[in-house]
Amino acid sequence: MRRAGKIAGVMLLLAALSCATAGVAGAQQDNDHTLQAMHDEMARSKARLELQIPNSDQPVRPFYIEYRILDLEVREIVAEFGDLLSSTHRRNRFMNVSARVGSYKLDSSNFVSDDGFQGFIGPTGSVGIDRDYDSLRQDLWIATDQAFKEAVDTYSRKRGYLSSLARQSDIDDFSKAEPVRLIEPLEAPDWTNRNWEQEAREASEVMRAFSQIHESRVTYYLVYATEYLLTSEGTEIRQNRHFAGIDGGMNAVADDGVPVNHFYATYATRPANLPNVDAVRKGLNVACTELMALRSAPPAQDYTGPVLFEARAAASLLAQVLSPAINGARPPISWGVWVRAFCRPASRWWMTRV
Amino acid sequence: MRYPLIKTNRSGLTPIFVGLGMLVGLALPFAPRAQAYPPETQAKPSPLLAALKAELDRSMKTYGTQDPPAYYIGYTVTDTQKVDVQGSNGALLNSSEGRNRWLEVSVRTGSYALDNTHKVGERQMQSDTAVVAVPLDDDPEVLRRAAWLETDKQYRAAEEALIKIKTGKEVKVETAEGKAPDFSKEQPHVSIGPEVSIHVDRTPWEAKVRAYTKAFRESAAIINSIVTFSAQAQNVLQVTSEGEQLQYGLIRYRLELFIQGKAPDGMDIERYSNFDWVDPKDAPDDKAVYASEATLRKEMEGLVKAPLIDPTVGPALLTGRAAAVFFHEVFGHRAEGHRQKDVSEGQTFAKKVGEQILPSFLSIVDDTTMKKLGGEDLLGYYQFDDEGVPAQRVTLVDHGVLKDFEMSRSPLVGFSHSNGHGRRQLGATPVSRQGNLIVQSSKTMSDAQLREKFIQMIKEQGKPYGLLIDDIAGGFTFTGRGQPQAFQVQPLVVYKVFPDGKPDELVRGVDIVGTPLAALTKIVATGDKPEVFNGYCGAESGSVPVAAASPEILISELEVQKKETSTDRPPILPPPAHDTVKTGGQQ
Repeated sequence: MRRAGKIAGVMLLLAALSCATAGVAGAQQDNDHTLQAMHDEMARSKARLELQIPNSDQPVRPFYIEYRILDLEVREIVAEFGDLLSSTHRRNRFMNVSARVGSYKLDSSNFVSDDGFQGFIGPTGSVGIDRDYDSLRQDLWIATDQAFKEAVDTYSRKRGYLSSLARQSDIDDFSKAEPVRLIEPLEAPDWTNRNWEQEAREASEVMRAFSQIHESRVTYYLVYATEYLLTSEGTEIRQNRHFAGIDGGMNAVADDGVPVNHFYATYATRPANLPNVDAVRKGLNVACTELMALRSAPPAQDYTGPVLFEARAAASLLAQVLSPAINGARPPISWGVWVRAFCRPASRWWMTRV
Repeated sequence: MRYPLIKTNRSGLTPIFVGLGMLVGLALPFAPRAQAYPPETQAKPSPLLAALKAELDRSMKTYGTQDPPAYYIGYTVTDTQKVDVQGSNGALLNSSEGRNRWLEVSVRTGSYALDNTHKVGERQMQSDTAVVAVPLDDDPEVLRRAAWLETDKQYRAAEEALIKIKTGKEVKVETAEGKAPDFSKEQPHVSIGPEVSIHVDRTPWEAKVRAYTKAFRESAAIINSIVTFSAQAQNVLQVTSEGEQLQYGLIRYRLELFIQGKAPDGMDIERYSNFDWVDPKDAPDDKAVYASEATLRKEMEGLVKAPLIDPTVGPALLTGRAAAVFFHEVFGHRAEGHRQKDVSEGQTFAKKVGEQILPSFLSIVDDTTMKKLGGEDLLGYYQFDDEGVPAQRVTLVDHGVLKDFEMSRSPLVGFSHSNGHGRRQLGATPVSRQGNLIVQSSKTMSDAQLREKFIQMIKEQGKPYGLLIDDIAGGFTFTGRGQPQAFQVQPLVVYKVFPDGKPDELVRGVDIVGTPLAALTKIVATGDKPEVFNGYCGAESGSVPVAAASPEILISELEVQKKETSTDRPPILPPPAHDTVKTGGQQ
């Protein structure tokens, strides 16, 4: 079963989470058939997935296939003013299949088109959480089919578009990577014996003392994940990740009607490592006190001059300013939407052979 | 993932709430006394009711004396406990249970005659009702705090909207329909029913959805399968400044089977069936579910190979479930009261009350007090609608003559009161909606007689075949004036029926299309056994549970057109479980 979209976001979210890897490799006797199903469907696809293109002697085949599965188990507890708002516990598995056609020099990736192949199910979505063999192969089968057709269609459009350009990139589209094999023991979530719902209630109760606070939320996020990766180059990974966080948000309105807000946040690599409720209450109390001060503070005036960023603010500032500049991602080559949305009419002529 | 729903167009139509007569500026002091309404069982009131009432009284004291005054404030707390177990292709997709509680605040400024919801020309001032999450713990203080904040926000929005409306009215011509008030004054009720809850052991349902979806994997024609079990207990608390105090609950269980396939020409084929029940002991057993699966599988395997059919016009026989959806789309949406006064609506039946619109052997009621029909639970049952008006049986058509509309508290000229059909999905503003639409016939025939008449009609019209519509996924209808007053219904299983006795032939690739006034008069006979279609209907006020019931109907002339289709190729490789080539591991 698929629920198209969202998977990329979930993958990115997880990539941002802190992780602890034991690095213990080796086959497991843990009733997890995920990698076996990925291997077998990958082998079938590599051997037999092909499309015959008219006026071409050779059928098109994928030169690279990648399977990713993210097994995500999340508890989320939300409280306000000492009461529980919600408490959920969910486990889902998300699949993302990508295929590339062409070659490492020029392939089907990194091209945006507004009228490309639209599969009826798609190469991403939810799959079964049982770690079983048969259902996953069924899901991977249709996702690989969709990813391959999408790649064939995109590759054709990309080549057509590039042929109209005066100069093409000298940089390869995809780099070869040495295969990596890392199979960690399957890790069962440890939610610890802490009563998270009660902790959320007690932590959020701090805000009752601040009558000027209009709205507040204290959210506990407890996350365990297992990430699987298999590529046609031979990389094979099963890796555990875990993450926990407490996020407290609060807002008020200043006497002049301006809304003001503040937050408290703390993170840990495991739920058990989160601070206890007393420490959270202390942190929230500080944030609430600062919010009350902010609420009473006079409005800031326009200013030009020296500024001192405290450590936490400086880290955030640098992350936002520097990150885009040192990110190695290449902007997509685009047809249609991208060109119309972001380029002036003359830009097309600048890029085109004349 | 797409489930077949009964749908209507979302043309941006939101209700124009109109009140009852000359009560300008009147508010709480003149509200009628609340009437005790007997719940099914006497129960203890939730402590939150008193908290809501206290905050409501405080709010009315403040906002009821502002300029403009708030003449109506309503608080609704909806507490939903939900269990979901979903499987796909033989494995569990997810299994969860949760609970949430939402507060909705409705504030009306002005008067029953003219308030902040009034529609001026094409413009609707009011957005959706405010909805905020409130604690699951019964904490009156925190609930009152949330109600206080939201009431203030809603009053400010209503105040601004009313100023714009009063200005806007000066530059627009007032239509005859617009002379009706914005909100009807109804008898408030006090009813305290028992709180409901569900206790579901998910483990057996997890095993069932695994097994049910695994069975679908046995067919190579089925590319994807999804089975969903859901259970829901919903408790509602409602207080209004008119004196209403309601506490009631509703439980629903549902099992849905859904499969997808693809024809060689790229057409996507979907089949769906569902079971709905209220009492846990009425849950379908494995035998019933596997029988339904076998039917779906057989239809899917037939449909992927079935020939396409070209557009045609001719006699058609609709089975009961198909006919029920047909009436829901073609008639039911056009009998929703708010569509009769909105100048942007087609108002197909607005001036036809007292006129013959159907053959005289047909009558239609919308009865939301009905829990079951023929032993089958009806999804459109409820005790009170979402505006706090008790559920009622409404005769819409009596022996072919239009008598009434489904009414919310947005009255029409000549229809000044709600009949308990103001409905909405949580967070949306209620409008008049269908509940249990039931078609009754005084000219019935047995299945054999009806088929005989069908064949005779095919011959008389000189047609090579007629169409038997066996199942319908849903459909949609255009009710706005900007579009043709047409409907489109999406049949899932269609057979060609030949006059010469050749076996019926399964075909695919068509939708039923037509216009309501013409289509309804072409019904010539009906069967003698009603069938029920339970589903969720989407319209301006969101998705609401509905039922439609009808006997088989024979139509002398029905038009079908080619349906929208995909041209994507079917999968290149066969399903792993059906691949006979030993490449790539286990086969």
